[in-house]
Amino acid sequence: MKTIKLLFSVIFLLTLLGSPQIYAQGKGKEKKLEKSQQKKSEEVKQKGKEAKEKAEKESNKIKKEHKQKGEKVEKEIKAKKEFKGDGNAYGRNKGDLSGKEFGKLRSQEALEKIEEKQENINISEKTLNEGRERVKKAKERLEKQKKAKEITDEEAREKEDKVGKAEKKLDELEEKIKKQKEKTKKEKKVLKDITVKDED
Amino acid sequence: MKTIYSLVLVLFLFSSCTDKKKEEEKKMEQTIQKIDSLEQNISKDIEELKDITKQVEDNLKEIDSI
Repeated sequence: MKTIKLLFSVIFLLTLLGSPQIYAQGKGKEKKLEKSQQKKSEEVKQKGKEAKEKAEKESNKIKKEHKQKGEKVEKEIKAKKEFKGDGNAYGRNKGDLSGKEFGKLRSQEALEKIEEKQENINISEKTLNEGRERVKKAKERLEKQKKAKEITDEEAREKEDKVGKAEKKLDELEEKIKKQKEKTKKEKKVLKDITVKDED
Repeated sequence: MKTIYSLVLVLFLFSSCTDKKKEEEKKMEQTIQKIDSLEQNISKDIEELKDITKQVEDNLKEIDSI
């Protein structure tokens, strides 16, 4: 019997140690209640006299606060979007989310980012295809101008340089697209692995 | 002796529970860091792709006037 009592007391102590914040919050609430009751009684006495003045002041205050809050919220949203620096990711402001929920949210965001990248790759591919066509047409026009002797040799050389430069850039873009496509595949796989591990 | 044994057992159980929770948090922290770094790389790639595409478009505009 003694052992059981002792065990219970130890478990009780450990529970108390494990939740000091709850205990502290409880005490804090009691104190707050007492204070608020005292304040209320004082306020009731003064309310009659100050009601008119307060109403005016409060309406002004509310207007100002609304403006400030709007600005603050906008800033917070911006900061959240932009902040991706080093530091403790788990300890970042994750609101009411649990660790797992926060992790899932982050992986969802990363997936959206991959989709955004895929869209950009598609846009670049479209530019590449259109660009090849435009270079082809420009070459044809240049050949015609040269044959008809509409331009001097120097002008022709300048235009050929421009076309060459554009062609080189298109090759560069093609290479980049190729690399990014492969990289995106890998990134999708990595994210999938992380998510699977997260679910385990 | 029995009491000491029980006490040690309770303490052991308590510490193992705490350790497990910490381990899970650490694991989650690592996962989130991996996701963060992946996202950063993706953003960088998107920017690079946009830059080179813009350069290509500028060059193409020049040759359109030929």
